[in-house]
Amino acid sequence: MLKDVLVVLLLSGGTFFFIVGTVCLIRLPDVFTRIHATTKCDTLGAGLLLLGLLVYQGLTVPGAKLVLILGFLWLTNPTGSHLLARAVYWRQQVPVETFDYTKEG
Amino acid sequence: MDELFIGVALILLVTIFVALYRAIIGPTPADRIIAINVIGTKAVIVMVLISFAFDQAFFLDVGLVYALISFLATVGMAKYLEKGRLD
Amino acid sequence: MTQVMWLVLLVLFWLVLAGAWSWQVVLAAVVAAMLVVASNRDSLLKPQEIPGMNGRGLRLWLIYVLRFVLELFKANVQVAKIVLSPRLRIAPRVIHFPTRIQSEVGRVVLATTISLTPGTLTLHVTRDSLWVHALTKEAADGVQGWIMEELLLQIEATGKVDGGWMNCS
Repeated sequence: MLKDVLVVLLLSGGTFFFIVGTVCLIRLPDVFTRIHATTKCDTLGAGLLLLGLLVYQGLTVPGAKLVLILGFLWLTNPTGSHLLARAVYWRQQVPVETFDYTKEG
Repeated sequence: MDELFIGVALILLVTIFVALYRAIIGPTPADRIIAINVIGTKAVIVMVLISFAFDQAFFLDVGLVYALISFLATVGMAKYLEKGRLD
Repeated sequence: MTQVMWLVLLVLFWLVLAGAWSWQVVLAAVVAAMLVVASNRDSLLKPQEIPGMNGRGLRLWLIYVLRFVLELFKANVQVAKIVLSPRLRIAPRVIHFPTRIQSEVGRVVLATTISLTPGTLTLHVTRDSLWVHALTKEAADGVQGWIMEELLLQIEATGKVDGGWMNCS
C-alpha cells in the first residue's frame, strides 16, 4: 500500500517535470534558455519516473537495467546539452562578463 | 498499476508532439536539435513504461540502446553545428 | 591494473544486459570486453585520475552526491516557478570566472553540476576557468565561490591527484 502511494507520487512528479520542460521549450525566448530548462527538467523528470518504476519493480534484473538507463540519461543529458550550448556559443558572439572572485577574497 | 503506466505514457506522447512543434518551427538549427534531444529522452521513458505495462522485459534493452544512440546523434549534430564538418 | 579493472566492469555490464549466466554468454562477454579494452587502450580512465579515492574522500563524495540531489530539486522547482508564472522574469547573461580545481575529473563533475543546478549552464571549460550561462542575475552571483566547488576542492585535498589536462579545444 505504502509502496503504491510512493510509486504514484514519483510517477506524477516525473510527469509534472516533463510537462514543465515542454512548456519551457515552447515559452522561453532564446536557444540558451531553452537548453537550460530542458536539461534540468528532463533529467529530474526521467530520474523520478525511473525511480518510481524501480520502487515498483524491486531489485531484479529489469531493475538493474532501469538503474543502467537512469545512469546513462544522467550522464548523457548534461553532456549533450553542454556540447550543444558550446556549439551555439561559438557560432554567435554573446557579451561575456568576467569575474575574478579569487582576487577579491 | 498498468493503467497508470499507460496513462503516463500517453501524457508523455502528447508532450512529444508539443516538442515536435518546436522542432518544426525552429527558428535556429540548435532549437531543432534540443527538441529532438528531448523527444529522444521521452521516447526512452515511454519504451520503459510500455515494457512495464505489457510485461515485455526486452523493451528495456531497446530503451537502453536508444538512449545511447540518441546521445550519439546529439553529439554528432552539435559537432557539425560547431565545426561545420564531421571529420 | 587499469585494463583489468575495465575488463571486469565490462564483463559485468554484459552479464547484466544478457540476463543469462551460461558459459557461452560468459565467454562472449570476456571476448567482447577484451576487444573493447584492447582497442581503447590509451583512453581508459585510470583510477588514480579520480580524486578522493580514500576513506575521507569517499565520505566527502557521499556528501557531495546528497547535496547534488538536493540542489537538483531546488533547481527544478525554481525553473518551474519561473516558467509557470505569467510574466517571464529572466535576464540571461554569460559570465566567465576562474576555478582552482586541478584534476580533469573534478572539473568535469563541477561542469555537470553547474549544468544541472539553479539557473546556470556550462558553456565552455578550459584549463583554469569556466564560461557559464545564467538565467538570472542571482544565479550568476551564486555560482562563484559556490559550496559545491569548495566541496570538490576539499575532496582533492584528501590525496594527491595524478590527472593532467588532456587536450580539449
